[in-house]
Amino acid sequence: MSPTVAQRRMRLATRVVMSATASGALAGALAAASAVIAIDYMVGRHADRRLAGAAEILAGEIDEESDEDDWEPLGEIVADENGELVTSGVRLAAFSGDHRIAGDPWVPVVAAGQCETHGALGNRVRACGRTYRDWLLVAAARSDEAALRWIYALATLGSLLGGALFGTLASLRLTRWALDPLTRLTASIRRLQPDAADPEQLGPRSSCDEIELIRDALSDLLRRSQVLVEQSQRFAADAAHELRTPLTTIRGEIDLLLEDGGASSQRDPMLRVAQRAKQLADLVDRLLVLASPIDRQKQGYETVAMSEIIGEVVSELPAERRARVAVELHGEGLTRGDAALLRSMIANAIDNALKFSAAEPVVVTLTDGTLDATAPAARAITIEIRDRGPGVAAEQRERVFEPFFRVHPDATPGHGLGLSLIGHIARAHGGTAEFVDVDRGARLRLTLPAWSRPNAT
Amino acid sequence: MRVLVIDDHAEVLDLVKRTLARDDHVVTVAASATAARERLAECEIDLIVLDLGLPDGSGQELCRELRREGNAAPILVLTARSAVSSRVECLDAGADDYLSKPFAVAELRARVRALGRRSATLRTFVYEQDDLVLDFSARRATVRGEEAPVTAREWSILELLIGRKGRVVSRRELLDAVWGQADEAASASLDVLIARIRRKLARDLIRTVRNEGYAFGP
Repeated sequence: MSPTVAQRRMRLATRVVMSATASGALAGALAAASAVIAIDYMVGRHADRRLAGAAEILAGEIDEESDEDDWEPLGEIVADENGELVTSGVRLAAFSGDHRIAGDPWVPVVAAGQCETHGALGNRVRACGRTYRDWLLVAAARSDEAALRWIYALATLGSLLGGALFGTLASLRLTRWALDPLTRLTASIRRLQPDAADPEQLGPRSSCDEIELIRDALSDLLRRSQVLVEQSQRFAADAAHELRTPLTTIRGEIDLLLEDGGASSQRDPMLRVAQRAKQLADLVDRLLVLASPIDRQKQGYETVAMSEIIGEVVSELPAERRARVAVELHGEGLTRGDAALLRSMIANAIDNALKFSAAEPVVVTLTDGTLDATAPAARAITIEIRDRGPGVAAEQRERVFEPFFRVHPDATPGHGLGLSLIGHIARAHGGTAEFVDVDRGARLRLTLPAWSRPNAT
Repeated sequence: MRVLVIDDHAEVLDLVKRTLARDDHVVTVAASATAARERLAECEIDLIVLDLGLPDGSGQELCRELRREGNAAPILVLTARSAVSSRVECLDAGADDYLSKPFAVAELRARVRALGRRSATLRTFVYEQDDLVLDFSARRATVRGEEAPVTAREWSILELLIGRKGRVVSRRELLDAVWGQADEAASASLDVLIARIRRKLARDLIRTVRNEGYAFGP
């Protein structure tokens, strides 16, 4: 995974978490505000009932006292009641019109049968009044505005923080779930084969609209690029076909001329033409193989012994090159495949090793995984080609398999097609091609699936 | 041998004709499928060299038609079509061998020689003995019902040996047919291949005839 991708995905997740945090905080604040308003209303009604009750009790007391013969003056009755109510914070007063007859001086005049709030903010008084005979009886209490404001503020802040915290924690968990369709789409894009990108391979359809839009756009792009790939493959096939016919004539005619012998002065130039024609034919072959799609369900593969192919390729080398190649065969190396392609793969691998290692020896090893009873899972044939050339730097080990990539474009002849051809053929057969670590030189490891009975389980 | 060469490229036609004439084959040429049918009607042909791309229909189609009509002459296919030269694709159409363009002249001559020697009947031949089945058309070998892996070279050896019905085939002939050459390396490989065939199929399938060669049968 490239760092840019990881970074981008994190950012999207962060945005989701941030928006969840903000909406959580907002929801918390709204909930707190509405709760505060509701509580304030209910607490207010409860206080009003208390005040109305206190006024009622005062009226009852006056009633009682007046039944007796020596009824106390109104001022005393109110003072007595105030004395009893001192701990509850409720204060009583009696008025005749606007004139205060008895009671606390800060108790305001209110309309009879009503509850009213008086005074400035921070010094508010809630008062409820009722009439008794000619008098107005008022019960009042200081409301704890200042304390309540703190409580309200704290409650709102708490809800805000709580909402934000909950939003963050929940979304941290839920984001993964929410982004899962995106993650799955990414995974299926990764699985696509660049040279055989079938839109159907984008995986099952998603139920998310946005993902489907991306998927549709991608399918469209893939389809269009597939058309381009097919066009270029057809072009390569046609071009190769057109090139091969004249090459057949050139090569054949030179062969016939050489068979005839002819003047010895003409022999060398003729050999050169023959060699160049062969190289040109090889190049056309390579281009054509690279241009043909990897077809996994290839029917008509035959049984091929890789040990035989290695032996043949080495025996066909010119004597001075053959002397540099040591072959170690551990097993027959049976596989299923296209013999011509596999031969081309081995020939290119050995040729490459010889080309890059001057006069040094090249070692070809074949290990038949089927012979190793201790590792039944590794039913693969491994072929390693080791040389003592300059080797392949770790950071170039993937790039060297790209067509036309060359480590030293000026130092060695070639077109940069050999390794990409090797990789292409190995993959087409369900195998792999890679450079592995070695102290000196290069070590190309090719694997191929071992031959198995078609109906074997 | 009388050889019919079918190719729509005059240059290639001429090249193949002159090449095969050097081996004293009588060569007739045709530049299209229609022309090829006319030649086949006119005279007896022992071997056909066929290019897959023809102006009036594909070579594979012609191949299939000839086999349907009962023509048993060996067919060598020349192809410039694809590097993925599927032997089976050609064999399915009824051809006996293939050679991809551009080819070495020596290779063409060797293949024609080998095809001329080979018994044409083997192409659709199925050999059965006890629990061994050798299907030469599908190139499938089964021992006790299980498929055994037999490589192209091993098939060539089997074809030659079974075709002789138990008579001795010399080492030289085997080497020439299978490798097109008879050097020391090929000679050593021959012994290895014979050993492998015996191991994969049956111990007594091939008999060694000291100082001469090999023969089919116990």
